[in-house]
Amino acid sequence: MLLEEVHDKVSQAVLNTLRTPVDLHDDMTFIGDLAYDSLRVASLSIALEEEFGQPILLNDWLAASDDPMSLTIGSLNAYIAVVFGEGS
Amino acid sequence: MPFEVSRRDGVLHLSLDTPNCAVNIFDRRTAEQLRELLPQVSPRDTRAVVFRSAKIESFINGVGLLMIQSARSRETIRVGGDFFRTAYHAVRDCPVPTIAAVRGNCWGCGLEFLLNCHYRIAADTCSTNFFMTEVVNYLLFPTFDGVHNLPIQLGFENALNLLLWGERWSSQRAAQEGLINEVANHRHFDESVNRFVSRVLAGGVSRCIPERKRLAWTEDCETLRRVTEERIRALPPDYQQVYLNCLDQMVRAARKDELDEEDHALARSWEADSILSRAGKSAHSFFFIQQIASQFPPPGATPPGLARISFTGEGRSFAAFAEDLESRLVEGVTVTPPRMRPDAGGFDRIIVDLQGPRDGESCAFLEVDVRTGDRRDHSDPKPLRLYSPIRAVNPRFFELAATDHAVAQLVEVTSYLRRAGFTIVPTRTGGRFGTDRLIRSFLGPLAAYVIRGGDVRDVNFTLREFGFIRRPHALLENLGIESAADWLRPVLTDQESAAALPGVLELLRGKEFAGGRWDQDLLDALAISWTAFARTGIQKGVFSHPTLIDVTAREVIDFPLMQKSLCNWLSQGRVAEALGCVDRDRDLVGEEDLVVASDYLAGGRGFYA
Repeated sequence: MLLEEVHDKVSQAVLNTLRTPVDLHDDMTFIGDLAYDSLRVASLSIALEEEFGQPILLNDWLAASDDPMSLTIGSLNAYIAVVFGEGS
Repeated sequence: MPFEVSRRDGVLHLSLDTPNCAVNIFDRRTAEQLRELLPQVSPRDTRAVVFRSAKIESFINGVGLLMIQSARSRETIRVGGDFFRTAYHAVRDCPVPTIAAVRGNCWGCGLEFLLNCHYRIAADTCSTNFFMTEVVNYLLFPTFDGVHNLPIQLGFENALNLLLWGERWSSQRAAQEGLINEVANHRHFDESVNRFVSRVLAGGVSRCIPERKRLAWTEDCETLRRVTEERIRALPPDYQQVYLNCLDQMVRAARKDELDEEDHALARSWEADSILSRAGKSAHSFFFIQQIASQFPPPGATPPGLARISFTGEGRSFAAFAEDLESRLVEGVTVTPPRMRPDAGGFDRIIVDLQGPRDGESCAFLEVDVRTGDRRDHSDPKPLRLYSPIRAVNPRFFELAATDHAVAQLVEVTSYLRRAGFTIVPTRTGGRFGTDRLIRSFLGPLAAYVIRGGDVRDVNFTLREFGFIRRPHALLENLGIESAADWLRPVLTDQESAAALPGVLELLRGKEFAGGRWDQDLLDALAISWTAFARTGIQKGVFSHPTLIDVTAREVIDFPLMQKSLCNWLSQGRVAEALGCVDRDRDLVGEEDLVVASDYLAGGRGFYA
């Protein structure tokens, strides 16, 4: 899977969990900019599954961050790319 | 903002409504708002502050686990914790009475929040219950002084039961034990709260936070401390530290007038230890898995939710179950009293007739097959069957099995039962229940191990080291030897083993916990058996998502929190290792399971990406 494809699918999944359309950027933080809480992370997992066709847990992505504010769209793209064999 | 703020007759009303969220979460914005509002409160213009929830089923369900799960440095944890603690202390130190009007779940940091409110009233609904999630669900040392406040406010034994052993209190129990001042009828909740506030203002209600600073430390307390320590030492090694640390701090709080800086520094340090520990991180992971599982079945295009439920039934368990459901008040759903049928000769079956939104429109029949029911009699399946073989071990768990033409009802009934406080795993099944398949996949290798000459102490030792708190004996006590033997006989290939089975299960039901040694072969056999169960369950459509298997495994066999979850643990690497190492001569798993596990490996994908 190409990085660009990963990026598009992740963006679509994130947008599907938001109530209002947002112009997404790689440096946007889930907690600060998108007001995510732990429950919405579960919705994001399901939205990602719909995009990628396989159940995806985000626990390792969460646990690997240095700081809650480092959970960004960019870091999720990078994590998903590694999960699906790109960028590793 | 999370709190909607209003002022009436000099009383400040703060109604919590976490935006875009089904439940209230005490997140950073909530803390920010309280830190801003409460320092401005003065007796000159404010007589009291009342905290309520705008969500009828959630007072406060927890703090942002997202923050906790993603924190990796002690400094981040300390700074983050201090930010929230300031908000909690502002409630405790408020110069006017702070009053909590609790309706809905009051869990974890929500209960710690409550402990800082001076006066407390709670609704009588089933969703209004009090539960310290920190240690039991997440292996976390409580962040907001609950470990100190619980023993002082509720006594040492109650504190232990709430914090370490997972007791969940109803409003009635909370009132009996002094956690709240009184219980309010949910039908007149707002009026009851208003009257309560008036009585507080008139000085007619006692504060829940006592004046005394420490407990009378009696010989009974000391004995309880020793017994608790022994109980903790029997837990899996990775769990023990957080339990011991909580016990230590509860004892300090109970015995001292004032905790000193050293005590607080130690508490902060242990808080960070628990957040950063491997077991803690794994336990937080399970929360996210539960959240995903709770979104199945997806709502989709379904008719309006159930508005009225009535019961008709037969069998001796019916009355108790109907009464239980009737007592679980779910807002918006009316339960009519059960109509009993004559007892059908002791046949232990419950049929619940659920009526739809319009009178007379039948939505579903629930056949509730409790433990002693006739498991083989599923030739005439009802659209929905509610099932649990382990009610004595875990009364909150049910599998809800649907036939293909009952999908809409499955959504509605699952939703209702979850709101009534049950953990529901929806399945699609034509024959054996998913729960039964799981129990068989767990007990099968254990029984085979002992039949082949293995020591039952090694079974218990291996399971404990792996992280199991509940051992097989609890499961077998609930199932009964005869039922368990019926389930397991088909997986045993030779007659000699089948004949030995009851005796072996008796041994497993015993409590041989001392001694023993680790046996990797046993764990490999379990890995293969569980893989076969999970893969078959997904392939046959019994479980629509691996998270539902994970929740079933956690609820039914107590799959360890520290291993994250069953399907997560069954990675391709783990199963490859098990298949490569398992000693086939010992015959701990059947050939069929080996084939399914090999197929899983050949598929090249785990249950999760």
